[in-house]
Parts: sequence; structure tokens; C-alpha cells
Amino acid sequence: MITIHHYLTLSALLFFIGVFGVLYRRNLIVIFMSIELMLNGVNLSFITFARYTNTMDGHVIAFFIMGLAAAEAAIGLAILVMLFRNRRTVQADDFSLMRD
Amino acid sequence: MPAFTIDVVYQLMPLVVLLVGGLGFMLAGAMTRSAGPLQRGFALATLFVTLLYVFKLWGADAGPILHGMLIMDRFALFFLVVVIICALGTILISNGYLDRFGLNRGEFFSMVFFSTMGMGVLVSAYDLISVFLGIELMSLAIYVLVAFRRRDFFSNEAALKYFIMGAFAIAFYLFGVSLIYGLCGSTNFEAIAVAVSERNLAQQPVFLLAIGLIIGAMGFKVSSVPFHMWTPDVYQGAPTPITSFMATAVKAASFAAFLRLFYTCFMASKDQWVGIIIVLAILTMTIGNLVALVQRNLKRMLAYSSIAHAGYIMVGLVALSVDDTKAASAIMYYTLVYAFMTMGAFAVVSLLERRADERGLEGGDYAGLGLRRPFVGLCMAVFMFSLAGIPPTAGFFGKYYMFSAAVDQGYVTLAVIGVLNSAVSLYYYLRVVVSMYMQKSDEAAPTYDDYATRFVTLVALLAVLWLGIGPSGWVPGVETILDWTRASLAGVLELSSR
Amino acid sequence: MPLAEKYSSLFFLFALALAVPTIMVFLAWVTGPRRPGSEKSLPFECGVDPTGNPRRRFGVKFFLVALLFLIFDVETIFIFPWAVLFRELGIFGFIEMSIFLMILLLGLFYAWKKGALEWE
Repeated sequence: MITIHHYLTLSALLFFIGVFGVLYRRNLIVIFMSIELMLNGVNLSFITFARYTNTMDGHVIAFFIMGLAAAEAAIGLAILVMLFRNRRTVQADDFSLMRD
Repeated sequence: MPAFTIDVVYQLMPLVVLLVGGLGFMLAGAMTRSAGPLQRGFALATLFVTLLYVFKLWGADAGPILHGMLIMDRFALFFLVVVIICALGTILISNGYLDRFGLNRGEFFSMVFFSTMGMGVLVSAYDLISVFLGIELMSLAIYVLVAFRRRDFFSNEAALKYFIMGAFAIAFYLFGVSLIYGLCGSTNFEAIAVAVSERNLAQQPVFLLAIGLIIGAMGFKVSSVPFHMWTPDVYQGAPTPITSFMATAVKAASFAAFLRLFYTCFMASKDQWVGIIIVLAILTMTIGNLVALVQRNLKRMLAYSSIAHAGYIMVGLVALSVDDTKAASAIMYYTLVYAFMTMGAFAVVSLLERRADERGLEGGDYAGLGLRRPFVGLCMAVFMFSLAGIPPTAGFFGKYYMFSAAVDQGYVTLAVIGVLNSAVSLYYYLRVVVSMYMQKSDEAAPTYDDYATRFVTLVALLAVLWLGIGPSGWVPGVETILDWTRASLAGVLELSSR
Repeated sequence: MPLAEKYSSLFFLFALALAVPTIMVFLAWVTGPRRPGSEKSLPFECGVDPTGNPRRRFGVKFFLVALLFLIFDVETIFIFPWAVLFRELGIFGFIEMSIFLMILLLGLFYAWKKGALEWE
């Protein structure tokens, strides 16, 4: 029997795998993918709560998250293409011109 | 029942005008090679039209619209005015700047409009979903604006850092929202407020986790320590008019959402979260000021100064209370004052910034500025005094109201820490003034001139002085502004106590 | 409310979720032997000697197309709920969706004018 806890555990796992991906990976594309993973983890928990509480808010915000995640990915990729054109690299460590 | 009536459309007009303006400038960007004076004039005119609609709405203190997604009450309108003033300032500052750096495109204005519209959604948000939409709309446009100097490595890097950190923060916000939604069964502010007080959610560890996540994400947007790491880099790398926009408008809009969210929804559990905000406020003030002491680059110094000011405003969040609107109205007043003085300071910085290399902002480059350019130097000196909180400038009164609200609520230690921090900040603000007037400039760095930017510094100068000591009359003075803030807060409190 | 109380155990679930990736990273770091060698740093291709650079670059043009596809593809999710409730929303929903699609079309027009749709 799959209960609400299974869904929520899965969603939290997805989210934190995403968090660790952002913190540990150095390739920018992988970092972007990890952020998407975090958003999808959140989406799953919204849908779970929406089913559980029988309200619509969770469905609505899930749609908006999907739409805005796409917009975010588009801008992120655009920034990445711009960086690559100027610097010929997509490793996060190579971008450290500004330091204290 | 249709949610959309003529009245609703009328209330949404400020946002609609900004949207149409944004789309219009996008098309203009596609059709024309560069934005001439005509387009800039249109940009200013569109913002004035928005302002006109905001003033027309002020009289009617409206309730929630669109199934409780947005609320165009006076609170929202007050912050909308602040945000639009910042947008006007940004466009005026960018007048000479865009030409000098070859960024003269219609898309620039388009993005400023979309971002302002996002802030409009954010300040009038009455639902966690619309807070999310507002933050995203605001930030997505700002990411593009930060990257606007496409060939510039600093601008590239700033955009990348802001983007990654911003997307990361928004994911944490959403995670917090999903928990709140699970606990309360709704994302509407009113429903959450009812659920929080009736179900005694304050005792739930998950609820605290959710509030912590939301504070983290909001803290990122207002650049509070320890979520401030992006601020100096992004402020330094972004084009200066956009730095000004981020430091003023983004901060004002985020604080508006922060304030309404905690004032409306989470007041019943204040004892649980106030500790987090106290720690954040102390850290933000102290670290912001201490690190600013050692900064050489003017833009970086102002970035740390903006972190410190976020800390002062958070003192106001600590002192929030249901029976007394003093702290909330101090926050609103401070946001307005802060917008003017920061905008003015960045307007002066934009005149110093040179093409290609960023050296134009190091210590020696503004040495003797007060003697070479008396008017600009005088303005900069007043902005520095105001940021430091020296009377009779508005910056002093802003801090005075903020800290006295904290003392009234019994947070005396916090207020003392705030005052001590202001004393520390004197050093690095006055250093700029001393350098401008006392030091000789060996290699006189060229400064640029632009009538629109000078106009911004003039307006900001007058505002900083008038908001401090000006009597209320035809031009609103301190008393009028404070009356306005109290009037705006009455509606918020009435809704939250329902 | 029982609803709220049920969730208190959630806190532990999140602690668990935080712990699992931490342990995974930590275990890999502790147990994994580190004996780097020239053979080991070669890419493994089923015992065949690698030929050519595997990191062949894709043209930036692909990214551009992917970007446009991504946006216009995902925005259709806002059309699905409207399509389901088409009759109930009536003319009001139709006007609203028209506004939404007009804005999208403006975006497409912008991309077209900027030459994003041209391959060469």
C-alpha cells in the first residue's frame, strides 16, 4: 500500500539530491539539471498534498512551477551560451573574477 | 460567478500598463536597431501613466481580487509607488550609460518593465502562489538585465551567480510553501492565518521548518546574511543602473512581501520565528558593516552597505506587533528613504564608471571629485551622510523610527547593536567624503556628464533632505508619509485580524 | 486537528531525506579506494581504444532551437486545463486564453525578427 508518506519521502529525496547536486557538481549544465530536480521534487509534494487535502491550490502552483521552470531553464541556458561564447568553458570554478 | 469584472480590470490597470509597455518595447527592440530619445521618452511616459493609475486607486481601499490571489490595497500601492520611482530613476540613470556602453536596445526597457510588473505582483500578492509568480517574474527579467553587457566578463559572471543562487533560493521557498500548504490546506494568506491560529500549528516542527525555508528564500532576495554571498559580486558586475534597480526596487518589493506575509499569516506564532529574525538582523548589520570597512571598490562598498541596511530593516520586522503599527510604518518609511539615497549614490557612481575596465571605481578615482564636480560631489556627500544616518538627513530619521519601534517592543539590546553598527558605518561612508574633498587627484580620472543622471541626483538630494526635515505641505513631508503608511497598514491589519 | 498532527512525523522523513544523500556521498568518499593511474583516467569504451574526442561540441544553434522549443512546448500546459473546462469557462475563458496566446505569439514574432528561427 502506497501512502502519502511514500510520496513525500520520494519528493524530499529528489529535492535533497538536487541540493547536493547544486553544491557538489562543478559543471554548470549539471547544476541546472539539479535545480530542475529540486523543483520537480517540490512539485511532487504539492501534488501529493493536493490529493490529500482535496484542494486545488497544489495543482495550480504545480502548473506554474512547470511553466516557470521552463522559463528559468531557457534563461539559464541563454546565460550559459553567452558565457561559453566569451570564455569557452562551462565549469563553475572558472568563473571567479570577483573576490573580496 | 465571474471573477473578472470591470472593477477588477480597473484595479489591475497599473500591472496591465506595465505589461503592455514591456511587450511594446520588446517589439521595438525587434524592429529598431537602437533605442533613441523617443523610446526613452515613451518609457518614462509609460511609468508616469502607471503612477497615475496607482494614485487613482489610492482612494478606494480594495479587498482581495482574482479569488484572493492579489490585493490592490494601500499597502500594495505605497510600495508600488516606491518601485515605480526606482524604475524611473533607473531609466533616467541609464540615459547616458546605455550610450556609453553600447547597450542601447529596446529590450533594456522591456526587461525593466517586466521586472517592475513582477514587483507589482509581489507587493500586491495575497497568496503564496502569487508571491512565487511575482518573485520569478521580477528575478527572470533581472537576470537578463544583469547580463546585459554581453561581452563583459564581469557582467557574465554576475548573471551566472545571481541566476544559480536565485533559482536555488526559489526552490527552497517552494519547498517551504509546499509544507505550509500541506499543513494549512491552502496557499491563501487569510486561510493560512486562520489555520495558524486555530490549529495551533506553532508547536509543529514541520511548520517551523517551513517558516525557516521561507525566511531563507526571502532573506536571499533582500540579501541578508548568511544568504548574502551573491550580493557584492552581482552588484559589482551588473551595469550600474541595474545595480541601482536591484538595490532599491528589488529590495523594497521583497521587503513588502516579507512584511505582508509575516504580518498577515504568521503573527499568531511570532514567538517561534522572531528568534530567527533577531539572529539574522544582528548578523546582517554587523557583517555587512564590518566587511564594508575594507572594500576598495565603490560599487562593492555600496553592496555591503545595502546588506547592512537590510539588517536595519529587519530590526523593524522583529519589532512587528499586532497592536502597534509603529514598526511596520517605520519599515515602509525606511524603504522609501533608502530608495532615494541609494539611487542617488548609484547615479553618481554611474558617472564615474569607465568602459572596459572596472578600475574607475577604486579609491583614487573619486579623489577630488568634490572640487572637480562641485554639484555631483555635494550630492554624493549628502547621500553618504544620509546612508550613515547623520541628522538632519532622512537616513537619520529612518533609523530613529526603526530603532525606537524596537525599543518600544522591548528589544533594547537589538536597538543598541543597531546604533553601534551605524557608528561603525560612519567610517567608510565618511572616507568617501574625505577622499572627495581632501585628497588631491594625481591622475584625474575622467567623469562623464549626463543631464538625466544629474537630474536623478538632484531629485534624490531634495528628497533625502525633504523627507528628513521638510514640513508637510504641497510636497509631502515626513508627517504625511507616516500618515500614509499608517493608513496603508490599517487595511492589512483589518484583514489579518478577521 | 488530526491533519496537522499526522505531519509531525514528516519532520523525521525530511531528516532522513537529508541524511541519505549525505551518507551516500560520505560512504563513497570513505570506502572508495583512490589509486589514480594513467590507465584509469582513460575513458572506458567496452575494451576498445577510444578514438577521437568524445566531448564533441554541439553547435550553439541546437541550444537556440532547444530553448525556443522548451518555452513554447511547456506553455501548452496552461492550455490543457482550459481545454478541459472550455464549456464552463465560456467566452470569458476564451478571451483570457486569447490574450495569453497573443503574448506568446509576440514572443515568437520577436524570436523570428531576431533571426532565431533561421538555421544558417
